[in-house]
Amino acid sequence: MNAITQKVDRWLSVIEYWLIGGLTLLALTIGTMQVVLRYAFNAGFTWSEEAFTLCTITAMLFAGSRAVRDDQHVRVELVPMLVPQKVGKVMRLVAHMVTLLLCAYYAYAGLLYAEFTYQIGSVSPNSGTPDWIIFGIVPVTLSLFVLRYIIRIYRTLRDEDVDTVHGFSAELRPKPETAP
Amino acid sequence: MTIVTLLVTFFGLLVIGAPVAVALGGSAMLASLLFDPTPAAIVGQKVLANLEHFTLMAVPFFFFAASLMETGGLVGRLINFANSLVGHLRGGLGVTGVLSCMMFAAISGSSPATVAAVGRILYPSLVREGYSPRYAIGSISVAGSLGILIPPSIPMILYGFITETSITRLFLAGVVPGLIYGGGLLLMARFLAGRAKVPLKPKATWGERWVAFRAAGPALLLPAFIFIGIYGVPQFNILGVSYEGGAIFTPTEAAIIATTLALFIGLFVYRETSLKGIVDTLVATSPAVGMIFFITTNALLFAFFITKLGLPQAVSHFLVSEHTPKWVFLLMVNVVLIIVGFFLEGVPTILMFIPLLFPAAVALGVDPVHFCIIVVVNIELGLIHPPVGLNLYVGSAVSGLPAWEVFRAVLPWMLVTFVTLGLITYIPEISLFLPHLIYD
Repeated sequence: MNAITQKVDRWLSVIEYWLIGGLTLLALTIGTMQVVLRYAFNAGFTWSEEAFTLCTITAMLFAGSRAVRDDQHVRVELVPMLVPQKVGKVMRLVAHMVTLLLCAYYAYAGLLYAEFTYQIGSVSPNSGTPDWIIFGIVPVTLSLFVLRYIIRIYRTLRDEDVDTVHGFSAELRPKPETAP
Repeated sequence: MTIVTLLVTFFGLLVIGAPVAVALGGSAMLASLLFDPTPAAIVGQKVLANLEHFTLMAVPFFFFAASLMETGGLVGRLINFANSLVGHLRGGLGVTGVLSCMMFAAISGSSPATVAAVGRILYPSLVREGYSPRYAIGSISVAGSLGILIPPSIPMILYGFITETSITRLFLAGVVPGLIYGGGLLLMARFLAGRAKVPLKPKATWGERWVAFRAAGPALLLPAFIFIGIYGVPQFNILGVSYEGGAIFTPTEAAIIATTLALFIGLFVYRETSLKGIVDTLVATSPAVGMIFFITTNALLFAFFITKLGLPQAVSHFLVSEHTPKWVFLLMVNVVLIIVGFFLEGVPTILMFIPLLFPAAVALGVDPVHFCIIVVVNIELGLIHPPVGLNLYVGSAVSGLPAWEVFRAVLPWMLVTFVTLGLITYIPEISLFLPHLIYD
């Protein structure tokens, strides 16, 4: 089981890396092109703003999934830190499970809306993109959140969960304090 | 019953250590499912629609611009330039640190990013030049908080986004308070260095200053570009070439151009990064933004639900009916936000509390722009006090000192923050002078 979670974690990390990097660079290219066209040539495309916004949002929702791996989703850690270790572990498990449930609900709700737009055949007025593709972003990205939280629950049960101070990449985390 | 369920679930989730985003979204979803069912498909639509705003896209790109500046070698050159100007003064390198934070703040919209970028380069130099580790990390951790007051500013973008206040006005309102706060920190840097009798350094020659300026030139272009882009140049008509004045870019477009310029300068001018390095930087920076986006969509679901319940209106109605004086309300806001700062960071503070406090502030006649600056300075204070002061942890990571030691280091500098907060709260003109001058 541990080997499986490690493999899933590795694959998710690779997928996230390329999607975040690729979509962000694409958004940057479209955004820069839009600014240059508008201000230098007084021209532009009707689809560019929407494409820029959607690429950025998709990239950042994938980044939200990566933030689950790195424990970067801000939370108030005071109480779980103050209570005995076992109680803290139970609290963390409950918190992870509630988070998993909420993400699964959002993924399901997003899927319902994407299915609805597919059935009525609606398209974006600016770009002509079918709405089900646009709203499909929610179930796809939130599914990654769900996978990440399954891994974290498993790791918490095995006392292997990331134990970090929120808000930093690994490089920025404080060094462990040494006894004087 | 709905409000009780909402609040109990919200605080219950916060206490067990669930992410703030989940406490917001989870409590709204549970209360909605139990008492006021919203169709699931509508929730699915809102999760994306809450984020689908061009204005909000400024947040990731100001983050990326700051990160690319650091990896592209722009920050080091800015520090060298600042040092060539003021490094010879008593406490010169400390003053350089504050000045560098102010310059970096004019490009970055994030305080922890400012502490990390400036601190990683300047902290070792400060200690090497005879400053105590406490002075070194205290100055940078507090001056780094200027990152969210001097425009651009991520909290201001989020505040403008949820209250529909002009972000360009908010940015402009941060300039004078930022300069006052920065000025206070410069004086404190000099005073503390004088008391510690830090050795003086020789004055840089004009030739050395010119070399440092030329090296930093492309990096200095960035804040100039952002400022001129957002506020434009005055109206002119010279030899048939006319310009009607006004803004050139929106804040989001300024963020895009700042990122592209930082990328271009790091890649082709300073040649300190590569395409792989750029992708690595973008991916490493993105989880912090992903976290903000996830909180934003959940906070807007929460705000949608509490507005439906009439909670913000009830708070403002209560305060108005009790004839609460404006100064008492502002004092209450400061006290509440300082207490909240003990437990929460800036972004969740804005997204959670502004929908509740903003209608009351407006009902009591507080200018929305002035209110934003008060909130931002409170957030700055929250960044430098434990237990969740992010700047303390970044300072700890940069210096290798324990977080508690960093907190002791920032204590004298916090005095400047408190004085600035008092001035800004009760003298609205400090914040409103520039927006009124430019726009009214």
